[in-house]
Amino acid sequence: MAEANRQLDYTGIFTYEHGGTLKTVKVFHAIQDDREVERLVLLSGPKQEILHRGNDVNCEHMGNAILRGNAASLATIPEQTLNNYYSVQIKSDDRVAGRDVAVLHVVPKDEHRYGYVLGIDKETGLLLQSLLVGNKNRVLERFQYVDINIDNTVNAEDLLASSDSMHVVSPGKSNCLNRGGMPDRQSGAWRAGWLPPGYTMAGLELTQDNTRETLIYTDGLSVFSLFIDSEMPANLPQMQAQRGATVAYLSRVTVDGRHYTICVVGEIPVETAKLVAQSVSPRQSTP
Amino acid sequence: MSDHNMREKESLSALMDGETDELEFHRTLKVTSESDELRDTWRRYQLAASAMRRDLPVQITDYSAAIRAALDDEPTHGARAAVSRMAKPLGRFAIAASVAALAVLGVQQYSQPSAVTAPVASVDDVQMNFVNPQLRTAADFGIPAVTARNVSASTESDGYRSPQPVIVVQEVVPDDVTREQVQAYLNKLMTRHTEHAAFNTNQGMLPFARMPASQDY
Repeated sequence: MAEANRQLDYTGIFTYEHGGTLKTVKVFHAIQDDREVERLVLLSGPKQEILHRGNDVNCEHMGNAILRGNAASLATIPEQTLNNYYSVQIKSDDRVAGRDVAVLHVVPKDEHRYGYVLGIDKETGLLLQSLLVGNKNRVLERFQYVDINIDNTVNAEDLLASSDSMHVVSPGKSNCLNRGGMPDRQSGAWRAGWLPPGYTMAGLELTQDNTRETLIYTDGLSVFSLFIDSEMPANLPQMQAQRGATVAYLSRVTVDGRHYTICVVGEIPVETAKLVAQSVSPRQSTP
Repeated sequence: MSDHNMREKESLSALMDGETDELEFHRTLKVTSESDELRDTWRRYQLAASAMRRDLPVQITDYSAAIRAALDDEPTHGARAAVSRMAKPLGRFAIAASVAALAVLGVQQYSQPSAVTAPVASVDDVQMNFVNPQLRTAADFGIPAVTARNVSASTESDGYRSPQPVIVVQEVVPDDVTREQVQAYLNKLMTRHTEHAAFNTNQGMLPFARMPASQDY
């Protein structure tokens, strides 16, 4: 599935719904000069485009590595395989966007992650449908293609932005796995004292002015980001927010009289996000 | 048509309009139950009445009552087998039903009490906190206000819980931070997060789908 999502050329329209809202998005996906190029055009609501260039074939990310089971960290933490945290069952066949899909149920084995119902294209392995299943089998979000043309040559002009309201996403180079199979930069000023089992650090980012440090963790299926920010006013309320499957848990710490905002954002249960946020501390006593 | 039937139809019409006394009410029901023709008439009146009611707000209440009934059934399923139910054939249907309920109820979903863990925050307590003027109107965090209105149009009875704002503030610190600031900050972080996810989950377009729309900034 991972390879299929990256290496095929396709155009299509998908819907994404959460909490009573529905987005429709047109997508163009192609490989240009060994690089994955994607353009997403929002068809409903405000005009918006996302242009995504990246995923150099030479740049491997932790999520990929875990799915294929070859990250070095797998050797050092033996229990860290996907099968330890999810049970994957192949269910009945179904049809999505006019194509035959195999329905996979990915059921979490603990309460620290969500479950998925995935519709995988039988011919190509492309992910055509994804339901994220939270507590009490509640579906928190649904992603589903309505129409898709696979291995359809994508015109170069379709991969160019057509409007100003465009968001360009480029890969964080520092988060490619190095030869040891680990993210290049691993140690920032902060650490999470507790992680849900199975989650591995996938990257570390620092803003240019060093005001915000970001730690990225994944178990191969879900991802959460841990932000430590020294710029936000210290009087930001402690809170939790939720949009579809994405939660944000925000709290504060004070270290040596300096205030920091800790925020955990990800597709994980809010209890998990809270535990992570509460475990964050500076690596040394003075960061 | 006989005079008799004509008279009964007038009685039926009066019954539809709620203009019969109790004695007449029972008599008309009895006569109607014994006549195919009158039963057909009754059905047509009902259909016509439904069609006419369609534009009235009362229809929204009716609709939510059905959804509410569906929701009331949910804990029974959930409590029985939690996530393992996904594996059973019925699970697919239950999930489909949840999606339908979700589409209408939207913001209400997180107000359901958790069966597995203790509530993170008592939902009702949190709601009380929204008297704080700065963080009160959090419902527009990606959710159109109209959804929340429809939901609140239904009654509060039968264990129904009021719609839950999407930003749930656990501890409101009254100070100079505005809702817009908080929202902009969270949206910024969510956008950054979707980018991280895009490079790590192999779920194709899905992480981008989660990216907040530009109007949210």
